[in-house]
Amino acid sequence: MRLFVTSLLLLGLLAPGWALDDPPKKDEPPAKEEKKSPADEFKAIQAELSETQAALRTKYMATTDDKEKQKLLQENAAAMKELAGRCLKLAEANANDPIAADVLIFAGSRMQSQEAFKALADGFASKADLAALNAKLGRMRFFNAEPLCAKVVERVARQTDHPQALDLLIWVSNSAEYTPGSPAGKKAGELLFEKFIESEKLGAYCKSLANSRDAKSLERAEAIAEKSPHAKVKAAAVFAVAGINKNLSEARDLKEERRKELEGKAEAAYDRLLKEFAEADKALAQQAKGALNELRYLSIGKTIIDVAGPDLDDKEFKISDYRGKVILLDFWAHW
Amino acid sequence: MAMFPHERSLVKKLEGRPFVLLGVNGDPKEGLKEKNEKQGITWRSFQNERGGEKGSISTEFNLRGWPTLYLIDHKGVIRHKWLGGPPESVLDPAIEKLVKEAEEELGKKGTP
Repeated sequence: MRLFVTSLLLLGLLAPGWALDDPPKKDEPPAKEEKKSPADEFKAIQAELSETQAALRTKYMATTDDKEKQKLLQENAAAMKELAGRCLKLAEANANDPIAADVLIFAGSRMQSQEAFKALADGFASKADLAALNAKLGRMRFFNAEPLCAKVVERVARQTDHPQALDLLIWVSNSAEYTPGSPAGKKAGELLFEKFIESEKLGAYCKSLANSRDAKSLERAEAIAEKSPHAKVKAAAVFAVAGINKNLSEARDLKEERRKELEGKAEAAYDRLLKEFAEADKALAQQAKGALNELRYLSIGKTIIDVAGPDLDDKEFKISDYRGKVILLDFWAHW
Repeated sequence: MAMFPHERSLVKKLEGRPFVLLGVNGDPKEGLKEKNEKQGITWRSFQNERGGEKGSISTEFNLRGWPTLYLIDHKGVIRHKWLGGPPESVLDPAIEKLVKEAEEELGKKGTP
């Protein structure tokens, strides 16, 4: 579930850009040299980041003062900037060592360093062959890595018949998912659509489409739903069609007629998914059921379902106990 | 998190008028009372995890993120829905409009 509070992201409470399977580091040999090896310096930076964030997080959770919280976030940002700077220097000094790419990936994903992404784009992503690129980047997912994504798409565009081209394009489209209007994401989408519409792997692309809210994505999802020969990809495409319509229907200040029209389209697509493709992708069918429930009973203009349950003192109550009053129902947590 | 101060002031500002803030709380139970006291959270909340057949409220609502807010009028109709906390400049007028509607209707019926 997505958490909307970006400050948590900054504090590293969530680290979505993290390696999916960071390999465990081997035991370090007893280093006696005066100068740290690049690997040791990298380890030191990683350790420092963890410690700094843990300390700030503890303070952040302990305080109730909003100003103090702001101050802690600023401190966190400054510490990240400093550590990212050290990563950049380390990578620059060891440009020919494979560790340079790892260090920059770390700085980009954990400290949102745009300089690191730029350095990756100019170095590793410009020089390494596509197989090596895919091996290193494929298991990561980044936020705001536009310069890197742009370079990867540019390279893939020149050799779309390369065995790793498809995987890399899917990687770009997923990484660009949360960068609205990303030109790299757009280009990757175009190439996927033009060259790989019949691929079995296109489901992953469709899943990233499901979170978008533009006409082009909708058009593509509709076309894939029609043209893909694979039931599982079709399922993901229909899910995307539904999702995009639903996202569009949730725009603020929408005319009621238009909203209803979009909701109707979303509902029809979810229905189709459940009827035709429930077996092809069971997990997706579950999600579709939840979304359909939300559209039918929890959209604007509907009477709220009567939620009942225990309050924080374990006393049962229900929403309808408060009928006659305006209710602000707030899903909240401290975190 | 960033919303607590505003929620506290909303509850205070609308005291005595036909408005209630109800929560669905996603925290683990342990230590929750102390945290709520510290933050001055006085409004009533459901426990999100109800256990048993009912499951969690967030699943029932197909919730896609925290916070999510529903604004419901006095008749029980959903009038607004926000994924992520809305700015005060959006939230406050929306509430005020519905509270006025509720008051007008109450006035017509002659109930004080």
